Amino acid sequence: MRKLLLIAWHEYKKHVLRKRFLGALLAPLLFIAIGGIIGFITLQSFSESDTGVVGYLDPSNALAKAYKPTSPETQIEFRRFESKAEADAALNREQIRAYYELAPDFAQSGRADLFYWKRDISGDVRDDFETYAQSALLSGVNPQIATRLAQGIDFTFETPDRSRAFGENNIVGFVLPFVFGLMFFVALFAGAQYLMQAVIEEKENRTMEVMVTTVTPTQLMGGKILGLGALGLTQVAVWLIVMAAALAVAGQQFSFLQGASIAPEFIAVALVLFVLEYVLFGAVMAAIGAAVLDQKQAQQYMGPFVLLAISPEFFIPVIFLDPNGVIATVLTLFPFTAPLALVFRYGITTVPVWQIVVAIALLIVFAAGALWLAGRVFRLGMLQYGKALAFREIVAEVRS
Amino acid sequence: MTEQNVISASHLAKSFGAAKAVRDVSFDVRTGEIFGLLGPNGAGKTTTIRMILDIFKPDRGTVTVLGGAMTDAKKDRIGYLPEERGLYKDISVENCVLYLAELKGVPRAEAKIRAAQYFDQLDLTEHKRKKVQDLSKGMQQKVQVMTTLLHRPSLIIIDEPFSGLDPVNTRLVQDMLLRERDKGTTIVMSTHQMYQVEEMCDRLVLINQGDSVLYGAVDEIRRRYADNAVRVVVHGPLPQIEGVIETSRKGDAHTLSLGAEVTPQQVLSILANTPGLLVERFELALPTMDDIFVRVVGGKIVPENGRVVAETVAQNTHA
Repeated sequence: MRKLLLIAWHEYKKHVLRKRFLGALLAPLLFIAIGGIIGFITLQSFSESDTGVVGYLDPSNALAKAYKPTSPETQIEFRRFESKAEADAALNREQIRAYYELAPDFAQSGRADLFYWKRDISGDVRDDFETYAQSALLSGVNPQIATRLAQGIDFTFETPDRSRAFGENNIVGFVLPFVFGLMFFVALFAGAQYLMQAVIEEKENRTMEVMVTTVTPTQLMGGKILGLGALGLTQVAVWLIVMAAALAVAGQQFSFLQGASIAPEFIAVALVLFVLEYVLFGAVMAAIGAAVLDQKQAQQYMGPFVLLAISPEFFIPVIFLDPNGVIATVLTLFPFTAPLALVFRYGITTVPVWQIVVAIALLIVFAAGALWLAGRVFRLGMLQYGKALAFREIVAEVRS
Repeated sequence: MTEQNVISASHLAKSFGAAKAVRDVSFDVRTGEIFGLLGPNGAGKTTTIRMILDIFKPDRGTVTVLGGAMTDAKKDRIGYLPEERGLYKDISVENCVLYLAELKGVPRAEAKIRAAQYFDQLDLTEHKRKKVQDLSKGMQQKVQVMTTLLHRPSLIIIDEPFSGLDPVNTRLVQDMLLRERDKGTTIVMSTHQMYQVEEMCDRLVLINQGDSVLYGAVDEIRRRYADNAVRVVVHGPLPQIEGVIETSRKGDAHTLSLGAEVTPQQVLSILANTPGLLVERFELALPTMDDIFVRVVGGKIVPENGRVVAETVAQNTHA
């Protein structure tokens, strides 16, 4: 165990300081940071446009009984002008941001022209004016109903099988597991790929022969899987911390982000599935690394496995339409696709517990089988320099 | 096999598909000796070493190491320098050495102390923070030798240890290995450098085409394959001696090939009694290991009824 942990620590330390890892770690964060900066700048520009005065010309006196509902989004004041000349003059002097010219038949047609000088007013201000106008048109109606109509409909997103529903303000709760799962997935593949590269490197730089006379193949592979798995988890942990911090900061500006959360049981199940999936893929990648000649050849062999793992993405429409259907269930139970399929389904349905249990059990069996198979290929290929293993050699080794 | 044998290989055979890498190899390695594992390229030396180290299982035959079958615990008592050299290229020399020492069970603090001594001995101190890939081939070889010795193994198996080293560093490494031997460490050395076999090895086995064809103490083998000839360095004209078939000269030394009717003692007596002639050196003209290697591998010496044609029970000759 001591040697296994030494190898794990060595692999972790070696890779965590590499530029390649730091690049992979920081690139999405940089992307988020740039997005955040753009968002912040946009927000600032909107908040600037959400203050001040917007005028209006109301020849038919349609908005006589209008009142401005309390709105947290804008601090805009609506001011009536009696003539176009007066409104234009105020606009020229930048006393107002813009003005609406309502049609004489506004009460019937709802037509109005918007005049602005330098910059259009924001969507929120337009919405506010619309509400302001509606308050006048609904002046005879019961105030409660008028307010309800003015505020619009509160939508609820519901899954087709009605097993799960998300309010308009909880859309993040719908998307978050998805994002969370994808992050795990990226880290899983990064870890598995590091593992493959580590095996190939050890073959290429000829350290393999020294290693196999120092440690057992199980210690060697186990240490690498552990160390590079920890590397993948480091990646996810950093992303999660940054994402949580970003959400906390953004939540102060965007109300729909407030209270965004993921259920702890989902995190636990996802963690178990992805760790098992990592062992499965890690073993496959290590076997590929031991069997091939170089990185280029390895990429060709790993392609089909990657495709298999991401295949649930191709079935997203099917999963969404029938989240508890046959295809969704099969993808959840099949070890290579289980984690991603589960993440996709979690957002839109309640996955039956038996399916989670069977998926985990199958993954354990497949991961153990892959480790055994990888061990055989590893023994066979580790000291073969200058040529790749032939498929028939692998089959013969497995049969023996 | 006796208790003093560190390695006992008996009738080892190993095939890879249709290719028979090792057919029948047998030898014992005794405690505290330097044992030469010789043979031309492709003879089966590396496969034999890999069977000793339990990397490959033999198809036939048995091998015991350090008193029994190979175990994980025994791996820490063995230092191995493989033919296919390998170090972690993208980490510092020191980290690479310490990591491999720790894997062999040396605590990091102790490994640091030992590493500092070796860095000093091998003139590597100023290079220890460099990445391995930034070192010359010779320096990398010295680091590799260092990683083989650092955990103080009781058995060292080295494949071409002097490859890539200049004469100064060859001497440095050679002295290090001799010191290890003097401390009681057993060394198995595979090499093509026959003069190093003569200088360093106590006993050897010569493998050719998968068979052990020559086995025994180095001096005994040289005597066994000696022709009836003497080598002399004299001051003064060399007299005509009856029974001398052929005379050749290399530098100051004359090699006299003797007929069956004359002995070296007779020749020495004649030379000593020749007036005006000073005999500076007189020795039996033993063949070099290089000569024997070429003759055996080249087929001039045909193995008799089997594969091992020379075997000896001579005791270790080192002090």
